[in-house]
Amino acid sequence: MNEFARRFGSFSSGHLRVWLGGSIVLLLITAAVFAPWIAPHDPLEQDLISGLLPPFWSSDYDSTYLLGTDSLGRDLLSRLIYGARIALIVAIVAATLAAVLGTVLGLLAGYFGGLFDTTISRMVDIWMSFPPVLLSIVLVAVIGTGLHSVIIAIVVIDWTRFCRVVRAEVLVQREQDYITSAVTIGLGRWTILWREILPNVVPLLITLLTLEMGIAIIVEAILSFVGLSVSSDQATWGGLIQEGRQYVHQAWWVMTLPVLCIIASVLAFNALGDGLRSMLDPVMRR
Amino acid sequence: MNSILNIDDLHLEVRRDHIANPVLSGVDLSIKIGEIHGLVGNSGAGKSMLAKAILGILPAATRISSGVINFDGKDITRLDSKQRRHLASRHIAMIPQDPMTSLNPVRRVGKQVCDVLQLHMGMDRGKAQQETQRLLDNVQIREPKTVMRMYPFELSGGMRQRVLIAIAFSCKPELIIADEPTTALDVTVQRQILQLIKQLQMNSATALLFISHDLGVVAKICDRVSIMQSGRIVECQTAESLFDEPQHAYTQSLLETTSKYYRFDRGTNTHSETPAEHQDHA
Repeated sequence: MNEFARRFGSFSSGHLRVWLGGSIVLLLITAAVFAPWIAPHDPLEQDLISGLLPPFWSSDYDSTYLLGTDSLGRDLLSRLIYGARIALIVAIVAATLAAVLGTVLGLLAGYFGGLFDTTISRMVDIWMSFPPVLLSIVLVAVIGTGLHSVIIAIVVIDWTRFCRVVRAEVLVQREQDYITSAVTIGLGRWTILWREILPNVVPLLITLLTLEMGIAIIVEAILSFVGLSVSSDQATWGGLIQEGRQYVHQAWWVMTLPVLCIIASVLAFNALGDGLRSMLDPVMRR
Repeated sequence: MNSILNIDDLHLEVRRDHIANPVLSGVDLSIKIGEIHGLVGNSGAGKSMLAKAILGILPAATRISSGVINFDGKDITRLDSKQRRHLASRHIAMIPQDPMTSLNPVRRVGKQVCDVLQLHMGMDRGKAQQETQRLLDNVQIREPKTVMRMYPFELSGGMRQRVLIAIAFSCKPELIIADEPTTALDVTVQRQILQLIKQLQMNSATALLFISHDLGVVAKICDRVSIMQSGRIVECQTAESLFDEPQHAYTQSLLETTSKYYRFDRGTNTHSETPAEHQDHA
């Protein structure tokens, strides 16, 4: 009975996190994909007379601008929705590429060891001793601004996270008895790595991946905050914060709303990753 | 030639801090085609290391310094790792010590059996699945179709060991090495598994190297028994003559401790008239 309660407890909390995180992520994806249809205004359309209008809960709110406007009278809701596009593209593409790169190197380093391991591990050490934000700013400054360079910057910086964790996990897994069994059965090294070890790393990888998506959103916000992301005529959350910062005393919501968007989406990705991990674990699943 | 495996003067050492410590020092062992050969010795005698040397899965720090392992007329210590893996994996199988950890936890049981069949018997997926079902049925798993779709954690230790036995016998190897296959199981399951191994072995032409530290178990199923002490085989006899007239002093002491243990066991049983009960009433 106690066993049952424990299992049910962990089971449902995993579920809850997946549902909560998943629905926010889904909302984000919907907003990003259908932005042109959902957004009430063109995010670039200026209306200089109605600048810095407050959101709907305020008494002098204008019903055409649900979440108010920025200093140039652009609709904040529309800008947030379009900002989700950039954030999501960066989150998914950059995190996935970083995961692929880091995982491949981590698997090789962990499984084959020797010179492979030494080279890759030292590289990771050197990489991680560099301040990541500084590195990304330098990188983008060198390769030029734009969506692709933001993605490249994130991949180049954050593959080390995956590499480290995957390597450590492979070191644990390859000493397990089932690997010895696989060797005596006669499976080749690549087969063992691909078919026996990799599936055991996947739950961990999913957690890391979703975590990394949250981090990618933050890094993109940082880069667009300092104006090193996409060109400034595109709405980004970081860009919105940067603009809102100047009027924070007259119109706090211009800065606060994109901050809330970032917090919510990062939390959602983390919750989703955490929940998925416990659901994908075959011992906890049922 | 009627022996499948011939080990001649095998020396094995572990290197630690540039010092070579001998693990096996001159092992001679021959296993005849189709026999069950027991290998008995206390912990640290080198039984498992010998098994690993035959299977070619020695840990990195160990090295065969001299000697010959002749399998089916070929010295497998001289093969390169690829040839060796090919030969060993097809013709020598293993029943591992701990069934709980010897199956991949995140892959379905059926797939893990299919792997072997597809690799060595050249079967396609469909055929391998049919064969898997038959193999699982052979090791007395009820509803093999359902079990094939399960993950290892859904099976008990005994069931997992049955699956591993099915894998070991799947390619009809010439030699199976069973490294204490029942130590991780409870006594009743132990007996079933032993019977199963014995029965499967009799139905095939497979020779079995049965490693154990339990003389009672060895007496039940083995044809011949080798006794191992600190890296050497000190005695090799048929099972009957070993128990009737042990030659080596170490064997005698092993047998003595075993019988002492059993006598002690019986003694405590007869005295168990639960004095605690009387105390409770007092």
